[in-house]
Amino acid sequence: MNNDSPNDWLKFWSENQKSLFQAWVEGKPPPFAFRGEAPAGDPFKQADQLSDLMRESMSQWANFAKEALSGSGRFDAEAMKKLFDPAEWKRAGSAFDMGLEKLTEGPSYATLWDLDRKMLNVQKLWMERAKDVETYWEVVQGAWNRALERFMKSMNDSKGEPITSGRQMLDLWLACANKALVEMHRSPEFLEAQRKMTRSSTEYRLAEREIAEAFCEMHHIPTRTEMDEMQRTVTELRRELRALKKPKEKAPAKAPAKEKRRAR
Amino acid sequence: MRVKVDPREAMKEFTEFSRRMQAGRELLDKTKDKDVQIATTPKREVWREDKTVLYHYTPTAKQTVKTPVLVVYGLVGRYTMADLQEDRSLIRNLLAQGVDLYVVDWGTPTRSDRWLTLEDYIDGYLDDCVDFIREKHRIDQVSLLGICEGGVFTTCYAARQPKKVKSLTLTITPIDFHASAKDAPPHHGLIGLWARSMSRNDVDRLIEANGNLPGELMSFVFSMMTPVNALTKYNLGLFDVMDDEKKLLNFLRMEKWLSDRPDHPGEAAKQWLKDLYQDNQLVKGDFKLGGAKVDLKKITMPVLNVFAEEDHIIPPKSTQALKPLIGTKDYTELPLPGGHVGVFVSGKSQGILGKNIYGWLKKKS
Repeated sequence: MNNDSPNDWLKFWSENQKSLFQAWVEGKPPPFAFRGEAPAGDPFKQADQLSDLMRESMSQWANFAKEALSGSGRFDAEAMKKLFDPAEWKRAGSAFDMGLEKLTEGPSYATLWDLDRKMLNVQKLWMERAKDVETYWEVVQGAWNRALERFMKSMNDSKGEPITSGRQMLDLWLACANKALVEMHRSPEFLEAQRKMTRSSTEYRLAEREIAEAFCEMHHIPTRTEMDEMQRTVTELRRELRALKKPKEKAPAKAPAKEKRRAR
Repeated sequence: MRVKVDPREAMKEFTEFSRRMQAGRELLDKTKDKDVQIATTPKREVWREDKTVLYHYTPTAKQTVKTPVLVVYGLVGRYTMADLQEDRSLIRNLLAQGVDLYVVDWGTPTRSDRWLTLEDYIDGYLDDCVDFIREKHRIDQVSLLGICEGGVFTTCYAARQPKKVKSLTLTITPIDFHASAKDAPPHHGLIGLWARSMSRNDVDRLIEANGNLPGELMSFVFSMMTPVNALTKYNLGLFDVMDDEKKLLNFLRMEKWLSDRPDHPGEAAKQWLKDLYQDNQLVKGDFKLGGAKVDLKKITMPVLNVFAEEDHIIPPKSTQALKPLIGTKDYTELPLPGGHVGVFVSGKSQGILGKNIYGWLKKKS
């Protein structure tokens, strides 16, 4: 049982973190010794090389982010606002969208960060889906607007039957809305929007599955794909079993009945 | 401005609104789950394989129709629609007239059933049910009564196993998946239009992502066909019936059936959407099951084809397309007033549907 006070541990951890970040910023090797056996060669030189690689990489990523997030090339207030404004996330062709596009195409190291790339891909697909959902709702909203226009026109039509109750007015509104919505459901714009939304939602869900499967693999849990494969095998085996059992069980219906009767 | 509301009439309307709300609240308070049970006609399980169960209804009258009838619903929804409540039940109606009835229940498919194909259902489970009935009654042939997608199952089965089918009754069954009348209302046939707006690859990816065709998605698609009705069902629709016990219970039973929509097994859904809805293979003679084309000319037994004149899901033209495609001249059409589900559950069509099917079965059995 360790009797050190939590404050001491917190101080120790904070100091270490501070030293580590300071070393990274200044491009120096970490201030504490590597554990275990030292690698061959000059450890300080190797650490410097690693540090250079990291700095170069960070610099590239920062440039991507700067270009994407701000026209002025700075992380200014406007860029930050866009970054955290949910409305921006689903807007087509936004700075954030383009930024993410570039980030997903950022430097990669062979198979390292594979999961991270999958997550970025999911993020990208989620944004495409959000964009398509927004377009879909724009088409739907257009129908509601047309319904309202028709309703107002009908209400002001002096030649129409008088409306003498609230229910009559409601029924008129609902009839206008239904007509406009059904017309919209047949329109090429709606079919296109619905198709795109379905497609991007599906692709998002499939990409999401890849991440779930990566997690499963990491934690020794069977994946969805593996379960599907197993279930496919079981279905095929059941099918074969049914086929094998069938000729034995399925005697001609009438003949045996007659034979049985004759036997009695 | 057309609005000419008399303040006294408006007050009356408001008073009536308040009265109905109060009466409805009291009725809803005392309504229990047991009051809205559906599919209560007594039956017993006689055969089972995987999730498919064959039930035999307990006879309620002396048998007057020689050949037993097997009722086959599809995978989009449940057979319980044919037995919604005591006074709105095709099943009770036919039993009361002396028809020996069986029904096949496909169960509730889960992800593990995603690989089941239409062949598994038609050549596998359905054929097994027919064989069971043939053996039990020591007969060669069984009469089939298909409903909606189940009508397609029975049509294909009758074409593949004509010797086992005594007569074929189809209700609200799509045959020509692209057919629609030029003067049809705009909300008719939207499912076909939407299915065709997707590519074959879209369908494959949708099933890959979900495993099955989700029942919830199908419910949403159906509700989109009558958008305002779907949006106002639980406020205006409920309000309109909430002070009348009989109407309220009808409403709730219907909702119970609608909400019980199982997932459609994935591979079978691909065939349903791509081969039939998109490519319309059944009427072209290109539809294959187990590698062999389904030849509708092999349907040589008597056929009764029942359709709903106001059916917005399966337009009458889609059903009527069957006549020139089959190999029998013993073909009868029965158009009924009402919509897709209304044919089975509306008070108006109850007597007509049961009476006509019974009369036809008695003649052809």
